[in-house]
Amino acid sequence: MKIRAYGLAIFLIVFLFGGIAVSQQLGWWKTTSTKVPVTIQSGDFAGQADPMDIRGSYKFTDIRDNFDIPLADLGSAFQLSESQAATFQAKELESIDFGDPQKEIGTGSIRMFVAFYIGMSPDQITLSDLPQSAITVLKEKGNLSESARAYLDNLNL
Amino acid sequence: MEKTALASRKRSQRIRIIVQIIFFALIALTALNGYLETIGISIPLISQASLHALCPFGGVVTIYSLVTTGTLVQKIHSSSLVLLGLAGIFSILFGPVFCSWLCPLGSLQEWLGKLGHKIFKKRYNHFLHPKLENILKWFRYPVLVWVIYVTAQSGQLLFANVDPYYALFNFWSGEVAIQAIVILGLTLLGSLFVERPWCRFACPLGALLSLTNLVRIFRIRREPSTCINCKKCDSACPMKIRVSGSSIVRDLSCNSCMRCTSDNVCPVPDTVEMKH
Repeated sequence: MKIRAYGLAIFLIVFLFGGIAVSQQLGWWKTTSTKVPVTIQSGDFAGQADPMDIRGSYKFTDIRDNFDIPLADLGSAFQLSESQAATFQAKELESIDFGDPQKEIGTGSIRMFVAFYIGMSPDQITLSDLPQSAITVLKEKGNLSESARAYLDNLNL
Repeated sequence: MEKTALASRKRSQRIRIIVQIIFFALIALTALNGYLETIGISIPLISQASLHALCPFGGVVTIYSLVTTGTLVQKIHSSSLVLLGLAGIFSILFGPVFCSWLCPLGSLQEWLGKLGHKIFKKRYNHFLHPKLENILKWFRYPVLVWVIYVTAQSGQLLFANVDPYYALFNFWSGEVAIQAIVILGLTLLGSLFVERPWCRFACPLGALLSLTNLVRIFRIRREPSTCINCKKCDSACPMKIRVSGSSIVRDLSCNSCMRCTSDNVCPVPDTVEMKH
C-alpha cells in the first residue's frame, strides 16, 4: 500500500481533529487549569484546598473563592487597590517592586500568605519571602497559628 | 503527459506547505488569543488554550509525575497527553510526520531555510563539516534524557526556560526566559545556514519521535530495479540521508517530509515512495 502526500495530509487533519473531538467527548481534552487547588489529604487541614497548589495563573478572585480570604486583604497585603486585585494574577507579583531587592516576591509568597492566613504553620508549607505589607495584614487579619506568628515576629527582628 | 506529471508534483509539494501554514496559523492565533484574553477580548472560534497544552512534549515530561504521584507537572494539561498519543500513532504509521507536517517551529525553520537557500544557493545546508554533523545529530537524545530527568526531579517544567517553541509564540509576554529567547534567535538565524537546526540537533520531541523510524509501518522505499541512480533523492533530503544507498530508509533522521519521493523530486514514477 502506497501513501501519497494528499492522502497523508487528509489523514493527519482528519485524525488529529477527530482524535481531539473524541478526547473532548471523553473529558480528556483539558487545555486550561480549573483554578481549583488540590485538597489536602491528611492532618488537621484534610479536605481543605491546598495553598501550596496555587498556580501563577490564579487570579486573586480565584484565591478569594477557594480560601475565603477577602479581596481587600489580598490587595492590601500585596499593595494593590481592590479594583486592581480583582483582575490580578499571582504570577504578576514578580513584576512589582516591593522596595527590597533581597526578597523574591512571587507566587510562592502568595502561597505562604494564604497558608498562614488560614492558620497553617511554617512546618506544613514551603517557605518563601513576604513583603512587609503582607506581614502586617497577616498579623492584623489572619487566623495565625502560634508558630506562624512567632516566625513572622522573627522575620521582623 | 509530461505537463500533467509536473503539475501533479507541484500540487504534491504544495499540500505539505498548506498543512504547515494551517497549523502555524492555528497556534499563532491561539497564542494571540491567550494574550487578548488578559485585556478582555477574544478571537471567535479560536481556542484560549495555554501554549504548553498544545505541545505533545508536555505529555512526555509529565509521564513520570503522572505515574508516581497521579498529578501532571505544573503548566501541563491533559491535552498534551492526548496530542502525544496522536503524534505517537502517526509516527508508528508514517514516522515523525508531526515534525515535518505539523510542528510550527519546524515549519518556520523550513521557511527560513528556503530564504537561506536563495541567499547561499548550493552552499546552503553545507556549512557544517559532515563529521561534525554526524556528531551533532546525536545531541538531541541526551537532551531528551536530561529534560525528562530534571522535570521528574523538580516537578516543574524547567524546559520552558530554554524552549524556543514557547518563546516563539510568547516572546512579547514578559513570561519568557532570556535563555529561551536567545535559543530561539540562534535557531532562526541558524535556519538560514542549516536545514532545521533545532529539529536535527536539539529537539527532544523530535528525538523521541525519530525512534519510530525503526518500527514504522509505512517507510520510504526505493525500487532499485527502476532507479536510474540520478541521486536527486539524496540532494533533496534536508536531513542529508543517502536515500539512493538502500532500498528502505531506516535512518533516525528521516522526518517523512516526502521530498525524495516520486511525487516530488524522483524523476521516475513509482520508484521512491512511502509504502508498506
